[in-house]
Amino acid sequence: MYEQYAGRLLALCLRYVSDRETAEDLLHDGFIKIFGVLDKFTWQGEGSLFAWMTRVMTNIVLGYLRKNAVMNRMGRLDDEPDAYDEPDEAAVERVPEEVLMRFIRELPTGYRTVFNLYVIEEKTHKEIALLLGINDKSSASQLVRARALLAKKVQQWLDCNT
Amino acid sequence: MKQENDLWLKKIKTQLRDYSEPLPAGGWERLEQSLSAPKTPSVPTRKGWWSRRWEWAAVAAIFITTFLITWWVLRTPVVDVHRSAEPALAVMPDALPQPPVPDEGLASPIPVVKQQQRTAHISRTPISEEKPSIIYKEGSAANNEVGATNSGVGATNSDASATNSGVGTKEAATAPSTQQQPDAAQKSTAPTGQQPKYRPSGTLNLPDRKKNLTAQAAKWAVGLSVGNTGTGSSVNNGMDNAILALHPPMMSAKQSGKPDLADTKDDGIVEIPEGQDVYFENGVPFYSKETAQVKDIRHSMPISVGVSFRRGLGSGFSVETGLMYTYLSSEIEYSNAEKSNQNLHYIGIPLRANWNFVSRNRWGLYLSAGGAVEKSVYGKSGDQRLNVKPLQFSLLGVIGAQYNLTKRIGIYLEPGVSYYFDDGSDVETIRKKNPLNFTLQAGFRLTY
Repeated sequence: MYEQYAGRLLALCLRYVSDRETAEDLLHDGFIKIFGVLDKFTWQGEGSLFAWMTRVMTNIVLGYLRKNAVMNRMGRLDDEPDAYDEPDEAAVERVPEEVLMRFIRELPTGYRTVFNLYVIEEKTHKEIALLLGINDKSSASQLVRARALLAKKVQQWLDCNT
Repeated sequence: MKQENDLWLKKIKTQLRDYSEPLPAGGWERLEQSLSAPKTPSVPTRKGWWSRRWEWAAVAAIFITTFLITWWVLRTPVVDVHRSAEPALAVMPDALPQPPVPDEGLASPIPVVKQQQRTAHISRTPISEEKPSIIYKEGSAANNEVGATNSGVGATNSDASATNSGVGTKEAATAPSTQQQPDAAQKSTAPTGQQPKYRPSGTLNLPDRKKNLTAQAAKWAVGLSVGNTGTGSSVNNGMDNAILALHPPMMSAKQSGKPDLADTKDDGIVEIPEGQDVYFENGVPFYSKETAQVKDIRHSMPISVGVSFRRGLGSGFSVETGLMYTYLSSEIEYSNAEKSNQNLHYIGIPLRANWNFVSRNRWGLYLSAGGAVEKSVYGKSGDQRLNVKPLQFSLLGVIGAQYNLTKRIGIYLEPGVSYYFDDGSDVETIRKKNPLNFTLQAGFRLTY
């Protein structure tokens, strides 16, 4: 089970914490927790195990983030983002996954967390606000900035690699 | 938010969904180490024996206390008045010490102990009465004879009666006398309706007290039990031949039978049948035999101690086996008032299947069925070793209710029935007397 899922779960951790060492530690802690509560898991179909493990791991990660008060270290909110062109789907598809991962990890922590929760976990701003202990408007504006940054990076890459 | 521009974000998501980051070297080994030697509180730890020592101490204290109480309560033997031989007079002499005149109807040979099954009524008459009246159910010619003889006996009867009562059982409070005629001398019955010596032993049906400490788990479980099985012995009507023959003969036994003083040759010598000695008591000659009659048997409550193991099978089923030791004790009183103790020690293996058909948070109900096979490993009657070779088989069926006081400890109550098969041996025990018993067990059960 470890072999099968650890890679993806490590990717998850990296998306959130960016620092490799911390991500590996969180992966380790996450698996201990998973094995500890495995008896409570009831199999409900294809992919339900991984979805469950993802939830467990996400909670571990968020717990770490909360504890370390990373949300306090956010970018300045008074800056309005520059106008930017958002890339289209086809363009994004050309970007390799490792590169996308890198871009996300390069985001400032606050933006990154909100981006992950909104885009990948598909949470609403309200939910994000509850999870992170912030204002949902703050969540929304952080997402805007995250998008802008990402869009710029993707565009730059595309420009260099076409 | 510009929804139409979110497509690229969704694309990022799908692309990264199955993305797998290469794992660090030694990651699994590190994880394995942490899992086997958990340090973090998130991993549940199993407390070992030592850290649970106070639990075990409490359990042991409960165990010992209940065992002692049970033992103390049950030391009182259950009385089973089991009539066997009444002291027999060979002859009612007219006058002592002269041998009676044959004409008076005492010529009939005095049989030695006749071991037959009869029930007879004897009306007890006080010693002072000179005319004994004995009624036999059997309408034999002997009756008439006896009747005839009786009338002629007179004073000597009281003598004999006095002797008899002296030999009788303890409960001669009103000093009744057994008046027995020669023919009836060998009566070996426990007469029903015999008053006032008759003492119904009352089916005590004392509840079983098995203090059972069983660990019941999903896997293997260990238990400890103390208790007794069986009920009080019941009234015995009639006599078993077998019982008489059962008990090992007492070497120094006396009793049963008086020499037929009428059976003399002309030279006045009374012939003593072979194997018998004559002894005198109060001037009345009695036979002394090699074997004494068993008069009363008092069985005490059996006491059992055991260990049990329970293995869960899933769906509320489990099987249970173990090892148990049972102690059966009886007191035998012989017709010559001598007593001996009979003690039997059994080792047995029980086997049960349980089904928890109701299982709630705090309580549950279950059914159990099973049996046990036991073997006597040591036995003693009086001074002699008893070697009971056959195995003792028994069946058991109970319904049980258990209430969990804490997560670990529960109390239970198990009424049921048990049946002990006749082991085919000659030894008389409470199990032979009452093969089918109502049982009631109560105890504590530990769960891990």
